Amino acid sequence: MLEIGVQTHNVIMDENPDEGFKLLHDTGFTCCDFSLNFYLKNTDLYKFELNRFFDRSTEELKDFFRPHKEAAERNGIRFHQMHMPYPNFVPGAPKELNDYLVREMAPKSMEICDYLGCKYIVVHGLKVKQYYGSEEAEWDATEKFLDTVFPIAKERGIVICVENIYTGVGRHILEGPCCDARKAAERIDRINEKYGAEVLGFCFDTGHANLVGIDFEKFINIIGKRLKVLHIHDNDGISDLHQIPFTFTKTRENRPSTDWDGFIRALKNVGFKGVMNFETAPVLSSFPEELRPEALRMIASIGRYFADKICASDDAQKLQIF
Amino acid sequence: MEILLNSTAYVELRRPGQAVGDMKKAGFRSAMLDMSVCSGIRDFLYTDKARKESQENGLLFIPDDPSRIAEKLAILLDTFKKNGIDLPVAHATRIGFPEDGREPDRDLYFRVLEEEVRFAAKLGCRAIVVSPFHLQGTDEEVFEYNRQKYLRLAEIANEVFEKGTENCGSHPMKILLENQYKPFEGHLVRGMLSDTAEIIEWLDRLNHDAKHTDAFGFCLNIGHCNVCGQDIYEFAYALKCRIDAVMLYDNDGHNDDTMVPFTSIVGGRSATNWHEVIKGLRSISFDGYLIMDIGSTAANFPIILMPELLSLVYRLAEYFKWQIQMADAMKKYDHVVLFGAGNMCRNYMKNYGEQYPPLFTCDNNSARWGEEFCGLTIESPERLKSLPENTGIFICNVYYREIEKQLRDMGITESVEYFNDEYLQTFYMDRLKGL
Repeated sequence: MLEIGVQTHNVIMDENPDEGFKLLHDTGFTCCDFSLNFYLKNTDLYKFELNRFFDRSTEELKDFFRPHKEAAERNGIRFHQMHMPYPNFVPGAPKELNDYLVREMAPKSMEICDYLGCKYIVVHGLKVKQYYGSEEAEWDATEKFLDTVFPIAKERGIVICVENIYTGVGRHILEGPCCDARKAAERIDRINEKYGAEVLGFCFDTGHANLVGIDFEKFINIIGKRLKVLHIHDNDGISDLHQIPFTFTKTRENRPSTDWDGFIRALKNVGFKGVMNFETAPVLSSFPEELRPEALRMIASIGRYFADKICASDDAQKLQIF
Repeated sequence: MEILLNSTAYVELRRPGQAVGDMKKAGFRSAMLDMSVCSGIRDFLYTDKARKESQENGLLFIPDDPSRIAEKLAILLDTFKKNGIDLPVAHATRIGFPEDGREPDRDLYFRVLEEEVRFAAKLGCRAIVVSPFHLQGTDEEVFEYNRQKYLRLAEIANEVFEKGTENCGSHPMKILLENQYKPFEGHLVRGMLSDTAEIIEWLDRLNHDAKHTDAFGFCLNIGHCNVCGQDIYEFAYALKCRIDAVMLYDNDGHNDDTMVPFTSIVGGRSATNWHEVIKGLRSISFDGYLIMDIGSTAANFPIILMPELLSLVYRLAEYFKWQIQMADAMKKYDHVVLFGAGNMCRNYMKNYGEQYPPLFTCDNNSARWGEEFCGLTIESPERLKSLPENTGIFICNVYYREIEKQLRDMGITESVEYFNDEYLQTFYMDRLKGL
């Protein structure tokens, strides 16, 4: 049976992490996706604002996150994956800020990942195509950044996962870095070979893929075993809403407008053995506080549904159909 | 590059005179013949009903006798001819995805399709766009099904060519495949041939199997890419010279409406990333058929204002052509000078400075004369009166018309060109201020 995980943002509070981890445990999760990115928010970075969270030494950061680590252990929650703050390069920002992201934020994020016993860290590719001219040049810049953290990944046995993300014009969302499965697969293989270790993997984000009409099944089948972690969430195909799967429909028949069946078939086909991890923090702010545990239970139930389908043998599935 | 208009939406089959006249006045000399004016998807989904409706309207029902396409199109074709409008490209009837999942009569469709291809080839079309055929199955099964159909169509084009009718060119009419989306429960997602690796494989295999080496090519549908959120630069760049035609139109990124470029605005910005479109076509030196498809806009536009709309569309097509071929303007000259010493000049130097190095730039601000800017000396505009022979003056300033007038007043009317930096390959991350 695959484990079920969820993003910690909006659940785990620094003041009392025990409460949040207990809630995750009580609502059916065994894993978490630690939202380190919320300690250095993208919205601030794009305004060239730096909150200096990562000015702390590695030891101070460990002290800061010790309560989180202990609370998770006490409540039977495992740090399966985490999200590095992003962007890791801000076009047009002062050099000092971009240097800080490479020299302080990135290596310290890796240290925190290791300290929390977390195997996977998700990183966004740089969004610089407009300036550098092509996706290839953009990836080169991403790889240059990743090269600064790969040695730490290799040493600590961490797998950095690049995620399919988007860009946009106005409110129309368009594909961004890592939306080409073939290129991603080639790059992951090349880099892992170069480092002689599995330092790079892929994080498939269902919501982002849905926004740019990616065929889930085809994409995941190409990525194959390189797929290490998931960001499962749903949207209306227009905005990046990070909502509960199966909640969006677009026709009178009211069938889901996101291809969850294709998602299940592909994960089954590639033999995915990871965690059914949900990136659904906004659900917790959209539901009234009293209903949040129920919302989390529903998310965990969906995770178990996916896990059952993925793990069920073909014969068992046929029996279910007939 | 040849500019075409898909006139389907507003040219009446039986009385096309006014609309075709408007097209001609707007500047169009070529059009795409969209065979959907002869038969549409309903003919293959609800054949009996569609036949009855055709009969009631006194129209030929082509699926009953596909060989009568010429008869059905006679007035339209005659009108195009009289107005001097060529039809170098046709688009075969599409069956696409019916919304209710109903399966079209495929045998009937293919009988019509074969006749459409035969008819277009006899007419002298140099290419016909034929969308791939959707079906359930593995990738290889889908390809094999399509392979048989496409090869049959290429065979027909070749038969017409070998018979050597008067309209035949130097090679058989080319069959162009086209990228697709598919509806998934009301949401348009990537469909067949939306993956460039798949397109290349299909084209290579089809051309290998066809009698004629260059029997198949590609039509890049910008609107289809846009509803699938695709990166059009990367798409075009991956396919390179395999792209023979581009179907150019705007939409909101979610519905496949065919709108005039730059008119679909969402959240204060154009819903199509025109920067990537222009950059992509420029990067592959696109020189094929640029087909303007504005059916949705035209169908909703006041009929009285149609001539003005068509003039705008033609002007837009010329603008795209100019942007795509921007470097051609520089190639014409032995020397280049710039007018303007700001961000646009800086962007010129970043993108073209090495290949087409200017002699100098000039600026109206006398305080900057003699200053070095991006490796160029800023001179007085007066220097433009004594340029070496065959020197192009490129205006690098958004006040194009004011500067052009200034040059005219100085007696400089020749070799004045506009440079534009809105859709360049690369940009600086900052903008210079206070210049």
